[in-house]
Amino acid sequence: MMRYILFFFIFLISSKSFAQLDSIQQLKVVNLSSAKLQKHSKGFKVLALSDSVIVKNMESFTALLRFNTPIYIKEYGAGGTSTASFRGTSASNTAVVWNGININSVNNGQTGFNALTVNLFDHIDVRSGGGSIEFGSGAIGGTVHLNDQLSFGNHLNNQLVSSVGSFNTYNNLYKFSFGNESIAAKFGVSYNQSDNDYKWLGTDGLKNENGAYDNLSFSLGFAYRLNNFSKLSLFSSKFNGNREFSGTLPNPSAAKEKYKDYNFRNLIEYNFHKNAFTHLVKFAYLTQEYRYFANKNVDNYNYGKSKTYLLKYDFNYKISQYSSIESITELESVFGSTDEIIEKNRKQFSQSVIYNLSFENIASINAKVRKDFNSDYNVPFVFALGAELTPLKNTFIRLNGSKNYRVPTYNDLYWPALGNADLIPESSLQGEFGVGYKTKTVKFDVGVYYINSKDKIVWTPGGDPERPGIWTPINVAEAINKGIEFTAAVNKAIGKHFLNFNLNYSYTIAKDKSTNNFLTYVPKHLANGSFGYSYKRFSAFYQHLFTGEVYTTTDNSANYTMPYYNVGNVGVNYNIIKTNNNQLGVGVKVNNVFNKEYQVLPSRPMPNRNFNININFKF
Amino acid sequence: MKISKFLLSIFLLSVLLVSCDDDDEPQLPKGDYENGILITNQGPFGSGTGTVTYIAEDFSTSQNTIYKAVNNEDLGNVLQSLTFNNESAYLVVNVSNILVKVNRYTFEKEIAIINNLNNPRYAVVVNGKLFVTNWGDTSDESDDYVAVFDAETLVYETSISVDLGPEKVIALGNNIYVAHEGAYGFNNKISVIDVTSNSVSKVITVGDIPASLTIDDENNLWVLCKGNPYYAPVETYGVLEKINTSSNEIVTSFDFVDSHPEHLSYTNGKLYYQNNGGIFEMETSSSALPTTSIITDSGYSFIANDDYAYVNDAKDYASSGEVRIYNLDTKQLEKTIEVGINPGGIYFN
Repeated sequence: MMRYILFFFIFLISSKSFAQLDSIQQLKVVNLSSAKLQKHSKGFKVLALSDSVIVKNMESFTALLRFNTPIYIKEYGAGGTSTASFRGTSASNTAVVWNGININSVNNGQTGFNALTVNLFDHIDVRSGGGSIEFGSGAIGGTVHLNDQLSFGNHLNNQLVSSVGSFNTYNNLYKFSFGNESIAAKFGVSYNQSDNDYKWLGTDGLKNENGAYDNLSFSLGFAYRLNNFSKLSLFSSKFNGNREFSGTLPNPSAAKEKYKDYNFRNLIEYNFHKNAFTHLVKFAYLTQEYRYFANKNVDNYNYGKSKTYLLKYDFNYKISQYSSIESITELESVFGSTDEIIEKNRKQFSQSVIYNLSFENIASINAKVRKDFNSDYNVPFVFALGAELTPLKNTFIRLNGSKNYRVPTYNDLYWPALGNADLIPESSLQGEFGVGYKTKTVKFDVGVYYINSKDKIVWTPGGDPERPGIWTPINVAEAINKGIEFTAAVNKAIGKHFLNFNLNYSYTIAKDKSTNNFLTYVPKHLANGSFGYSYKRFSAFYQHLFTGEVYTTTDNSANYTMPYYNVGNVGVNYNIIKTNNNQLGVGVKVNNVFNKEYQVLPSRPMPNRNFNININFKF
Repeated sequence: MKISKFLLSIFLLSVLLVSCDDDDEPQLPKGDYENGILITNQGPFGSGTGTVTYIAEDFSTSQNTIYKAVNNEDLGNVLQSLTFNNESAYLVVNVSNILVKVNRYTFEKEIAIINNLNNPRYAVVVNGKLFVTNWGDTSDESDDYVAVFDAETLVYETSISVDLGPEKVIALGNNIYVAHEGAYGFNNKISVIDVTSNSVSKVITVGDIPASLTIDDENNLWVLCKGNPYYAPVETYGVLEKINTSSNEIVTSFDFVDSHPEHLSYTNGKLYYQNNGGIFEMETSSSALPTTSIITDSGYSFIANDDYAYVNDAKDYASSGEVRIYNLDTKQLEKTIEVGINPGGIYFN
């Protein structure tokens, strides 16, 4: 393992010694949600995954995050249930935010990353740490932002991406965007399918049976400039997915589970901006449904569904050139049910105030407070403070501290006979300190953080003394998470040769405070990196992931650890057409190029070496 | 299911027949795991594998994951139970849907099968036939069955359709008694299967959730029913049934007040079970349930055997468990030994 880390560091240092050259010209795009996130994240680390990164991991959202962000993802076999552990926190402590709206499941508080289409989002940001209080509950570990992009100005663009790969895998995407002075519109459709019946390396011919998936999704965005001061926009996205859940060693043929997801998200936004005032009114309507079939051949299923109505009013007043104050008022009504839980309604009102202060080239500061009033339980008052100081040219120091909470899920509260209506939200206090260096060609950031979480909701047998032996959720655990996150990015041009390099490394110590044992499924070391090279019409890249050993048992028994693994992907691309308006690229990608046998979860082998051929046509 | 057949053939290819000690040297041990205690550990839920722990007869040594150590492979997800016959032990792996036959003394794998099993639970051997209870598909309440295999070759013979949720099974003479806990539902039956005709000869209605069975020296069948849990439509409490195996009629029912007893066993003329955090001892001739426990402890599984009581503790169900061994004479804790994850069964080799 040290060899790999060493390799990265040597490479990083040597590339930094290259002469400073002009950066690669980046297409300037305007994205409100992304811009707002940057503005509200002073002192926090935000990692932006650009379109060119996204296209390299079209196979799944899980793969995209795994190879490009510091998030550790627990995946029950490729394509199966996939949940995040950000900075060693639990799955419901990573919030997924779609155009500024938290879309974690009402039922279990999580987002399954194999129920998201990777390629329809124009822009994906990953923000480390808490303090994103404008996105509601849950974000103790961090947030993943999925943003649609709309731009005014005359343009008409089409993009078609299509790939064919091993295991009958097909990924297809079509995006269309159009704009003039008063209208901006876009439409996208994506269809992905795979038999996903990869060979289980190290076995006597076993395959990933019952692992097939397909999903179809649409996205729509439309904005209309009403006058010089105001505009109306609309976003809608729909996802229908079918997945089979593959089995475990040594008998994959025992698997017969199937899972369906139906997600529908709608958002209307009215934006008024005049002089020092900005008003933003958002109304969102979201529905989610899952269906779980214990046997895919039988029509019986368990389900969970929810409807969310959200009204948000965001008022911003620019006090001076250097400061602004913002008020966010939110009213949310959620209806959730499962086959076991009759429909429950939860209402929440929240008020946040955000103050921004900046001194040109010296410092910028965010201060945020939020108070919620919830129909079901008391929610703590939360706050976040972030500051970014730039003492020297290109160098910055960032600091942040926040209090965060996560509300109990519908399952926690209402599961018949097992749920616990007396639960209170989990809460955490955290702080982070980081330093960084940023030029057009080199960027690095290293930060240390500390999170103290209490009242963590844990399902435990006999949690309620009145119900001995029954699994119930209780507010019990206290955890300390601390660690280091390091990110580096280098873009270089030497003549017509362009090089880029990205690295994320995280060192995470997450412990249960009562036992002082490490939390399960939190690798101490996690590193991923990519190296890209392009020359004229040719480009190539290599992605690498190192995941350290994880404990699978709460007593940290050495008998049941998951060993570390390294896995790498490589791709080459050639642009047959490359003009200002048209671009046609043909590429080949090899996943798991060294054909390494590895498992993320025990008894669930991951894919062997596999190939795909892709075209990317922009016109 | 063509693929399953293909897999079966692969498994069959790996058959190793190790049996037959050709000459009689009685002093030689038959294998590393002769004369000891075997603990079946279900393994973690969702992912991972079940394991087997061996503990020496005198508790002086123990070894975890013996199946993996001998065969260099995992058993699969949720090791439900083990049963012995002659030189063999049969391991039933529930979620992975596998039945593995090993040499009980060396633990070397002999045969593994995956066909004709569907949510297999427990097994017993009578007259050279292996009977395996199966829930069938959990969404279908009418496809539950007992599969019959040749105990030596594991060649499938037939299936006997039975009531919902067949679980533990015990043999006496030409009958096997199958307890129906009800799988994901609730049930209250004992099926009596005549192994000479492979048919259900009688269904005895007992208390709710008959979760453990034992047979005493007078050939009475004792069935400890837990009662429906509080989240059932109607909560009920435990019942201990004494059944005459000649008539297959209930002789006596002992009702528990306000509790859900579990894990019945029989040794040295006495019954033992676990209830309300304690271990209870009862004479088979007793006309009432005992009122005080002999040992204050309870676990994920429990058995009394000869001079000792064994309590398997699964702790938080996500870490190594332990077995606490009590001396039944002194009622004192004699030894605590680390076992695997979710230790669900204790067997004496």
